[in-house]
Amino acid sequence: MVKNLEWDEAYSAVMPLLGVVIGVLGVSISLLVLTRSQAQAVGSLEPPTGVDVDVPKVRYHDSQVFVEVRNPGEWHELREFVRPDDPYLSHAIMGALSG
Amino acid sequence: MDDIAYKLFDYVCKTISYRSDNGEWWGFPAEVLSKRYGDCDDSTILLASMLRRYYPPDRVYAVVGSYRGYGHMWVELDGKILETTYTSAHTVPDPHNYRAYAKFNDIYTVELWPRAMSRIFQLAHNECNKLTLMAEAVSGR
Repeated sequence: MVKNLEWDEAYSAVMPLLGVVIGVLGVSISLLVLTRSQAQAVGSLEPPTGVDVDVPKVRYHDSQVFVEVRNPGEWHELREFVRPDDPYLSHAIMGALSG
Repeated sequence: MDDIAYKLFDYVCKTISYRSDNGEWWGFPAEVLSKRYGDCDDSTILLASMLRRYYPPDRVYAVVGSYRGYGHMWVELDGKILETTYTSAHTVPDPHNYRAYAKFNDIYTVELWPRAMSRIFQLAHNECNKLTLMAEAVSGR
């Protein structure tokens, strides 16, 4: 009987403390999740400049997109690949249009 | 598609034989013309460069995207898909299977959603499967 009373007292003393600990943990985890999701949302709207984004083959800098699609460390802005003024094209175009 | 576009498209299809890269390699137009072979990115960049001599930059783009989930590139002229891996110029029978992520030419770069380009190299890369699916679409299977 005495043992049961002691146990009840201990239980009554510990339970409020346990409730507070669980509450604090819950709020902390919620805040952490909220902060992470906001960071991801901001990142998707405005990618960091000059930093690798997800994969090492693409970088963003000053609204330009750079790709590493040739030799390692050789970065080109996307627009560099389309070269209408390349003199080497002229001969091929003449051949294509006369054929 | 007018006569100039058709002839340039057909020229690239017939002149640049398909050969997949060992890894990722985008050739510049002169390099692709010199080699006379390449994969989708090589022939796309070449045809986009040739077409840009005759069409303004808001009409011609090299498009980076996916074909049935596989990473792919093609040319867009007035919103129409020009598939440069074909062996001759003809219409794409299944445009709904093409999903653009980004498009560019010598003047503009357009990402269809923020950071779309960063997703391109995460797409599946199996040229054999991709070409088989394209061939099936062309043959109507």
